[in-house]
Amino acid sequence: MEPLNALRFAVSDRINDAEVGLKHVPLSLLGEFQKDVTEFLRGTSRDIDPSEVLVSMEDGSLALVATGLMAATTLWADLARLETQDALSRIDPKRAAVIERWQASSRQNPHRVYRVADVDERLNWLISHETSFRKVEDPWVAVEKYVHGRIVDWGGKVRVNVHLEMDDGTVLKISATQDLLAREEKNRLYRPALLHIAAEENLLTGMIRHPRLLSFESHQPVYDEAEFDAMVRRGTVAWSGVSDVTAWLEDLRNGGA
Amino acid sequence: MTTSVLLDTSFLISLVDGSRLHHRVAVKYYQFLLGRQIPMYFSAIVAAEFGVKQSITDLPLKNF
Repeated sequence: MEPLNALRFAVSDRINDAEVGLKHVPLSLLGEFQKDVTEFLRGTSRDIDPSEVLVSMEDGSLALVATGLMAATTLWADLARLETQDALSRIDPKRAAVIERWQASSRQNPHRVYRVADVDERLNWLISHETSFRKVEDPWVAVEKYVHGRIVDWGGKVRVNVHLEMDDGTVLKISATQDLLAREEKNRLYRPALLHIAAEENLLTGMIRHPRLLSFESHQPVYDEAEFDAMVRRGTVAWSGVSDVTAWLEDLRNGGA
Repeated sequence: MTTSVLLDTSFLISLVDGSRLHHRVAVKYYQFLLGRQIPMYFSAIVAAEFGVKQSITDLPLKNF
């Protein structure tokens, strides 16, 4: 989502048989809403200084229009993620907390609806008693991977690691052991490398965390005849009971084998 | 755009089992792809199917 300059935050409700608006708003709701909007805009990264954000109030419901948001990169990134309601665990925790509060208020009071929109209404989402914004626990799984890149740093006395610049330009810091690095006879610094690592991978985002070096591998794929022959010997034994691969696969895919 | 290939289960079985009818052809393809440094991939489903009879770590994974 491209950063824009303005966002409109609105809350509508019925209190004492009257619509909430500029002429009729409980002081507590006004105070809470203003505080929530400030917290939502600022987030934890504080890439917005609330004192520089101008706010105007609009009628119809209780609405605040905040301007001067062009530089708020994390805000716009989070707003894009909020297109799915299970995104709360992937946005700034302070913004997620505001949405959770609004969601809880709407459930307690079904007339209450919060709406966030940009001026063109390209972005326009609401929180009501019917919405279900929630956190989904990040599914981290243990993986082993082969990662390719260029080693731009390695070593360390206490924290031993290898910095691998990946093909997309990001640098992955991989923990290692002194033993593993001391065994290396080749100077791999500033050269392409293929590393066998253990790590945890997020199944939703593909993010890698806690990468740990298992070994350096040959970075140029090569045909190793001895290695290949050994693999074929093992494979020939392993698959000896399968005479017709196509039939075996069909059976397997139909729940047999 | 870099050319790459997606391998299926039958190919992997033909590659590792020397008694398969198409073993030699599979080996030639494998050597050709390695020689041209064309990246080879296989899906998690292929890995699971192959793994029924043989561990995928038996494959030269550093070349994939």
